[in-house]
Amino acid sequence: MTATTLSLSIGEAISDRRLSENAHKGTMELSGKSVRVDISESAVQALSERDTPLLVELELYFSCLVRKQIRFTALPENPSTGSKCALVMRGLFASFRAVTTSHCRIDEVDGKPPVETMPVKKPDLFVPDWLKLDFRAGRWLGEYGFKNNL
Amino acid sequence: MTSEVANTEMDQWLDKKLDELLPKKLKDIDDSRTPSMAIIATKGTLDWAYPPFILASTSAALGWDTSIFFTFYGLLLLKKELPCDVSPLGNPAMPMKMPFGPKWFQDFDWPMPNLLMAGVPGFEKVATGLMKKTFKNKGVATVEELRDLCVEAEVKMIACQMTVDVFGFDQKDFIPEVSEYVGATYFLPVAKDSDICLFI
Repeated sequence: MTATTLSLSIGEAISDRRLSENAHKGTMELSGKSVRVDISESAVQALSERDTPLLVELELYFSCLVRKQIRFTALPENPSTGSKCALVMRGLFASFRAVTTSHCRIDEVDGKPPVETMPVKKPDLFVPDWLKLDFRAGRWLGEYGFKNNL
Repeated sequence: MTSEVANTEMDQWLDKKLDELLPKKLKDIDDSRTPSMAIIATKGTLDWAYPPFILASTSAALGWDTSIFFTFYGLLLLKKELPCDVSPLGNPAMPMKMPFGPKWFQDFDWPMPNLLMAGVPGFEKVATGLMKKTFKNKGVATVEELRDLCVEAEVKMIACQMTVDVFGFDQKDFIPEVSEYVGATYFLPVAKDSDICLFI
C-alpha cells in the first residue's frame, strides 16, 4: 500500500462554531515551533474511524502569489522517527514545507498540483502559528495561518 | 633578447594558468556569496501591497538579503493597522467578478461604468471586500500575513523619513519592526549594490 492523496484544502474557512465544546485543542511542535491545533469534533470522530494514519501537509506555495494549502494524505503506516512529521494526536501527523512550481496555475486543485519542494534556507521561519482541521461531507478540510490572522 | 623571450614565455604561461583557474575561482566566489534584492515600494492600495511583500518573502525564503524601502504611498504598508483598499475606478484592467454563487455567476465579468463606480458611496469598500474574499477563496495569504512572513524572515523594512514628515505621520504609527527611518541617499547605495532592484 502506498501513500494516497485524499484531498487538497485551499481557502477553506473553518468557523469557530465548528471548533466549540467537544473539539480537540492542543499544540504540536513543528520544525522547532509550537503550533496551536484545533480539530473539530467530526474530524476527531473521522480520525478515530480510520485504519491508517493521516498526514496533514501544510504547504506554503510560492508563486506569483503566495498561497496556503493543505494536503491530506493517507499513509500506509506511521512515519519513521527520522522524518519531519510531527505527531498531532493518535493517527494524525503533520508536516510543513514550502513549495514552488515551474508554471503558475492558482486553480490547480485536482490533488496533483505541479509543486516541488522549494530550497528554503530557513524553513522554520515560515512555519505557521495555528492549524484548524475539520471533516465535512466526507471531506477533510483545513486552514492554517500566522499570528495576525488568528 | 633572452629577457624578452623569457617574458613572453612567462606571459603565455600566466595566460594559460589564468584560463585554467580563473573560471572555477570566479564560480566559487559567485556560489559563495549571498544574492541580494532591494525593492522600492511606492504604492499603498490593496492590489499594489501584494507585489513587494510576495517578492520579498520569496527572496527571503531563498536566503537572499532583502530590503524594502517604503516611500510615498508605500509607507502606508508599514502602518500597524493596514489601511489598504482597492479602487476599480479608472482601472480598466481590473476584472469585476463575484467570489460567491454558482460558477457561471463567478465567471461573469461585470461591466461597471465609471459613473457608477465614482458615484455610488462605498463602492471602494465593496470592491475591496470582493477582492479580499476572492483571494481568501483561493487560499492566497493576506497582506498582513505576507508582511509578518517578511518580518519573520528578517527582511529589512526601511521607511522614508521625508514621507513621514510630509504626510504628518508619527513613527509610533508604524510597526516596531521598521529598522530605519532614512532618506533616498541612504537607500540608493543599497540599491546600487544589490543584484536585483525593483521599483514597485
